[in-house]
Amino acid sequence: MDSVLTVEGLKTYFYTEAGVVRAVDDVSFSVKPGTIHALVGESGSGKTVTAQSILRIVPKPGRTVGGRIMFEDKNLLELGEKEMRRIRGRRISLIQQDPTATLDPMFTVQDQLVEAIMVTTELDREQAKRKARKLLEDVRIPGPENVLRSYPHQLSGGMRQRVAIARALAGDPKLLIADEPTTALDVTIQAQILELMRGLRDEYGLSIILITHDLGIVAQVADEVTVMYAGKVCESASVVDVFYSPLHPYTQALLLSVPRVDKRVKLRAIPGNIPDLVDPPKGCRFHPRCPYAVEKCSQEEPKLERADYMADHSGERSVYCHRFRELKLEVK
Amino acid sequence: MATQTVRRRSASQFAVALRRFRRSKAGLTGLGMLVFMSIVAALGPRIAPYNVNSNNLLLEGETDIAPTWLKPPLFHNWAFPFGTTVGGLDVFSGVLVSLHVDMIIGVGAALFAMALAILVGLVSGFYGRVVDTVLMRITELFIVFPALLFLLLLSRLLAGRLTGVETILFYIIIIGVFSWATNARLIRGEVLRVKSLEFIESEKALGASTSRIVFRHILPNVLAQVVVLTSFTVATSILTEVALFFLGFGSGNILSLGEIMYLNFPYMDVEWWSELFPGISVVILVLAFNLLGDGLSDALNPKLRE
Amino acid sequence: MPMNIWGYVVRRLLYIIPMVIGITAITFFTVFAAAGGNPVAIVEANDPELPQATVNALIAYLQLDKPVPIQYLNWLWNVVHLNFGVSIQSGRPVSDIIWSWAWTTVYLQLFALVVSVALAIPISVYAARRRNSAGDFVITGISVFGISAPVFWVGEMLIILFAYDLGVLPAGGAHSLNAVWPWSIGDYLAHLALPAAVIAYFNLGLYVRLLRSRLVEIFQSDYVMALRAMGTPERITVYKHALRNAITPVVTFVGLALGTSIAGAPVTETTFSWPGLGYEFVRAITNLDFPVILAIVFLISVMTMVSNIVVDILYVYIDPRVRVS
Repeated sequence: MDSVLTVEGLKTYFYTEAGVVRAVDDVSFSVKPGTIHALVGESGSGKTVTAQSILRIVPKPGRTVGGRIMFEDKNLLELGEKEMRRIRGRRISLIQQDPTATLDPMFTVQDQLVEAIMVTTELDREQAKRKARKLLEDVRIPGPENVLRSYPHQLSGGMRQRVAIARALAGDPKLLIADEPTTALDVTIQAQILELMRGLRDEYGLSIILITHDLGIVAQVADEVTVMYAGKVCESASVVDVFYSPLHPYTQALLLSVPRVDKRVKLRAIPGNIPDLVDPPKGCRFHPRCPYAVEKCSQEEPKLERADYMADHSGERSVYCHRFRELKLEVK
Repeated sequence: MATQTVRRRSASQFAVALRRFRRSKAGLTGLGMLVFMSIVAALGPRIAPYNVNSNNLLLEGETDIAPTWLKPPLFHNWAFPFGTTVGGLDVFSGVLVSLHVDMIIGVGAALFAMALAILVGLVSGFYGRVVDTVLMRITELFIVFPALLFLLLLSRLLAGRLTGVETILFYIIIIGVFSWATNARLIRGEVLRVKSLEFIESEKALGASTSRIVFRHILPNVLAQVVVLTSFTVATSILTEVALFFLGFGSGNILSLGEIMYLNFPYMDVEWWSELFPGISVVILVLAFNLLGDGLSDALNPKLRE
Repeated sequence: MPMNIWGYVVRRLLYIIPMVIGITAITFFTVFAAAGGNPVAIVEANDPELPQATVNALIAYLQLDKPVPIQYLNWLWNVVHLNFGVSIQSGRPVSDIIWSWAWTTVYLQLFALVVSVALAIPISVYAARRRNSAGDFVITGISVFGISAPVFWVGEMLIILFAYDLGVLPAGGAHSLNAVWPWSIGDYLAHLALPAAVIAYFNLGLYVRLLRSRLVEIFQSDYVMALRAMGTPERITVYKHALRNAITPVVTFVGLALGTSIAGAPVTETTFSWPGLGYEFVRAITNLDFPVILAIVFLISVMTMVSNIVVDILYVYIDPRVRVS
């Protein structure tokens, strides 16, 4: 199946005074069209930096130093700034975690939407105003006139996030990257936003990369998942496969550490800490915390292994673990 | 959730701040300049080559001489490195001898001002309500008060009657009285911020006995900002003090950099050295405190960088 | 502007009144205290040759036979009617001369303000964008030097350089003797150049430091990242969004700095022999010319407060978050 976005061997490093932080170190995954692809991991796993790398807005002192990002038959990492600007906002959009900080407090919603529309399309101001109203309707905001006239600080968190999503859709992008869009919101609003995303996927065929650390969200809306740890990918598969038969010990640990309402399960925290990305552990980065680690794990970094035969629906999955064939990971 | 950090050595707040300070170019430069000027100021009166009593005069014929090393052969004659004035003052000696006066007044006024500012800021921020309103009104009055005008007036009316040490004390007090207000407001802001931090709530929940114990929690946190403000306040105090003397409202019985510049202002068209060198000394002094303040600010309030 | 802003404006304007009363009262009582209760005596001691008529006029104006608080209220009453008394030095009514002094001070300060703000913006933007570059370093260095050097000293050095050595600019005064406004505008500008440059330089240092650091913070903010992620041209991101957000604390600061600058007029004006309120103030206190002293304190206090308020209003206008519904 054709992918809308394929990331291959992405490497983004930060050159700081404390050393080189290997925030994203050889990350690969691909996003199928019209799906919600979740990027899951703890903070510090490199999810946000991956998103920034795709759009090429990694802040200094970071730099993407390797890999390819294929989008619409082009390698984004090879494009010049001018061409990238035609991609940003127009083909690929980003929404961020904190809806308060993502909108400029000095301008009204209409100002910002119209600006976004005029930057990403050829519409004139009058047309842009009409489109702004329509966008608000698309994100299911009732009474758009009032919201258009409002300043961000006059809106609730959920409303702001919808406006942010509307703004991201201004240029009719093919791919939306949502970086922890619901983390700053409370649960009921969260559900609405996720519902909205599902709607966008179903009605408009929008592909979404959903970055999150919350497995609950992943279970609710994602079609596929890529699990990341310390700048590396652990495994990548459909949601069903990952949740019911994970192949990587870290995934298992994550699943086991999530409290469940339906069963009495012992809550198990993952022992240890995430590694220092300046000086990561040799071999597999998870091995110090992995209950199944063997000698090889501390010597060699695991390579990409295809495990399509173990995929239920989509027929595709991959994993980065030396022992995935022998381990039978349970997640009762 | 574990947050990402780059692993570091020791963790004490003070050690961390110290390390950051050591990396601050501004801070180190400022500190170096300050140390240098302090040494010069302390030794000044002793190493000054010529006597500089107010009625001093050099040997006849040695008035109004340009810096001697400027005459060819360049850099050979160091008899009067900063030149001499019409009145017979060796500018170099004058600078050496008066440096400590400016430093003492500047630092003294700043310390006095900060003491007041901390008091007002803490009380106002902590107790709130009526106390806060009243204190803030008073503070505002002092902020909008045309300080320089009033200082000039006070100096004119009172300074003539004072002797040496009293004069220094006088200036410390009056300059300090007009420097505390802005700082008080800033400190109060910081106190309010700290007050709302969670750990204060938990202290209260633990039944922290009196405000005194909470003072022990709030004050250290506010201290960082206090230190930074103090350095900058010294800088502004010195500038104020030099301006006062420059306008001729010193008491006439102590020699300071501003006083030297006042005495020679009418002759500056022909005697540029008598204004240049005292001025440069002031600049170095004030710059030192400003840079130090920047360095302290970097060390204690790191900017978001990671 | 929304209605509630006018309410705010009016409240702030009314606020000036108690503040000015406070300031002038403190000044008034301090003068009397320092004069040992008898200002006339020290005036006479200062200048024994003062004509009796002048002394009498002073006594009458200040109503020295009454208790001090009454004296103050009486003075306040006079001032409200714009009666500032008679100058001891010149014998002329103060209200005749004070307005031209005030105007001279004001236009110098305003000119310097405009120059410093106009320059501060592009300089700060440049420094913030090319952070830690050589250019940024130079700018930061010049800024910190600007706030560390006494204003009058910089002025002196410039006078020595441009007036005495190069002879291209005048050494002092607001205009040449035979210059007439507005035909001799060149002359006025030539005289304005140095003092305005000096005031502007000092303030520029302050503004650039603040604005640059605000901009650096803002460039790391989420909405700037969102704008970049949308492909917004950098020009719009910086000048429309970043600057507008950065400018809010700077606006307040500019107001305060203007107030301080006005109050610091004695120093700059003396250096350049600029015939404004500050210059006259220095002369007045040398001669213990109390009516003039009080009048100038009053005027400068009012001017300082007005500039603060104008700035507060600007702030409310700029930042929508502050407009309470």
